[in-house]
Amino acid sequence: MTALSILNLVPEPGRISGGQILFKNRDVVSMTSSELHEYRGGDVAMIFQDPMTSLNPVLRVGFQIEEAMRAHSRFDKRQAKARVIPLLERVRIPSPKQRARDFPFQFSGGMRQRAMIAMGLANEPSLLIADEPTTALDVTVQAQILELLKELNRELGTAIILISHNVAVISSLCTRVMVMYAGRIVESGPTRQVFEHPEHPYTWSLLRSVPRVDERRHERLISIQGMPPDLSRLPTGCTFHPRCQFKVERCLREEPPLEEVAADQEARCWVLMRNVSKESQAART
Amino acid sequence: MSRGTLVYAAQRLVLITFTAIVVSSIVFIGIHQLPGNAIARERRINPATEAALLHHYHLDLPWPQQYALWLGGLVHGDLGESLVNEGTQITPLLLREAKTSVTLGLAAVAVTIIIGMSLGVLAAIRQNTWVDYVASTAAVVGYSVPSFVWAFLLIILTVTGFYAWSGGQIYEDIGWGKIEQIPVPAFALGLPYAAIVARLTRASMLETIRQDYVRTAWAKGLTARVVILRHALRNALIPVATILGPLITGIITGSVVIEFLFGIPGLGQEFVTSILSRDYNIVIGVFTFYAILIGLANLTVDLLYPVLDPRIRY
Repeated sequence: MTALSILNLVPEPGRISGGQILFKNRDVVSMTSSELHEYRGGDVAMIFQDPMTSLNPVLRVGFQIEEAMRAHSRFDKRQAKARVIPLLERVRIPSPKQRARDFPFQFSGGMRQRAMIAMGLANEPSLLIADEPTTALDVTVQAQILELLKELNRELGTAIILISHNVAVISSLCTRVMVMYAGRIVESGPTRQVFEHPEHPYTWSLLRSVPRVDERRHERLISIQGMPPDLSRLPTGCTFHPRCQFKVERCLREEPPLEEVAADQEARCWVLMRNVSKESQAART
Repeated sequence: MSRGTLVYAAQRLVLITFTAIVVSSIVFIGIHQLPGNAIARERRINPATEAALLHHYHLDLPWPQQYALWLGGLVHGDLGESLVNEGTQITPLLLREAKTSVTLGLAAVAVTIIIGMSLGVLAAIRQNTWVDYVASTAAVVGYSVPSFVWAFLLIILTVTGFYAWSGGQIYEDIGWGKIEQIPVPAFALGLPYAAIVARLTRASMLETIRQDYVRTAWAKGLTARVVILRHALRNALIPVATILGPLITGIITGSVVIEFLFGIPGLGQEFVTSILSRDYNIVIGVFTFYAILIGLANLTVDLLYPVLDPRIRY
């Protein structure tokens, strides 16, 4: 939802009720309709969770990529046509010339996601938002797509926002991480630092609930108690308190602010994991 | 067109020919079981003349022999001679009338598709606003009022209404032969079906505009027009196309009434007059033409599928 807001594409009956979305010092919320059309797909491109349904089934893959360029003024008609095949080649679609004439149903899941990425990159955007781009794919294909994203980031300098619940994927790809709970950032900082020293109990529990190959087998995997809250009826105080194992009385009444807890690291918590003793932490695992 | 599609179309054409022969045979045999004969009238005629007429039309032969003769003509495209207007060949007559009916039918299909789809798309993209309510109500009314009632309402409006308002300057000249005489009967014939298409298009569009690929289209920065027409409507058309077959059949059979009301010299009118004047040869011929027309219309719709949806191949 946050990512769709960045493109100002929140589906009805939702709307952006307040705040600003700044992109290169321009507020997306107050853009005119034509500015918005140029910005979507031009400055910021997005790839979605399910590549099986994200491509139009009745249009040729090549055309769908070309169309993204034709909607913007960066390339003229001839250039747009000529760029389709190199783009498909760039995302490693085999025999791109023939494949450009194929329909999406003739592509495999991984290929469709590659085509989506090619479409996203068509206008050389400065930002690519990838909303769980590998959730619908199997593990080997997942690794290939992530490798591709990493490579594009390195070679083209495209910034990537990766939305994922997969801790392993995030730690292998991202330089910075923002942990969100119930629609709010609860912790943010450099990925390594946050994953090694989580300060918010939600981040801490999340990391503890991931099975690891290098861990001893008898250690129990924890799961976070309870259910994610109903977003239309959020709990009072800290939204995480009903599920938090380290809550204090204050958490029920007041919502904590997002505060700097270490160099470059912020967390939204009254307690912070550093103040919880190792014994008490261990007791909760 | 792919090879598979051509083979498929050829097979269907064979099937249509076969259907036309079966339909006309059933009608032929049925009509020949009726008592009396085609020549018999209220007024007595000279027995010698009657015998001569019967002989002229081979009606004095036993019916299996007549059937064989008639079938032999049919495979050569000869539907015989009118029983009422001696010497009139039926095939060229019906071909001329079929051309008229097909023109009217295509105009009605155009009315159906243009009005139906526009209303459906508008209602869907403005869901739960007054536009949607007006379009949906119009669709219910359009569907509930049968063609012949539309015909009367349109005649009142365009003939007497326009005449009165414009002081005799503008009015609809009921009949056939001029281009400006096509739209009114086409509307009368197409409106109830336009309503069906509108309702279907609306439902189908509501589904497609929520699809992921439509979100992708928005995210690409395409304009609203392109997103709605190229991405949403193109996909919404696939389920709408499925009712085009029955719809065209409905328009063809519905034209019987409309042609009669508007005095259009088409197959529909011939169908009615030939039955009333007991011109049995023409009755059989009209049935044969209808069978062929409906077969061809359905074939056209089926050939439309692979164009609309590349996942469909024959």
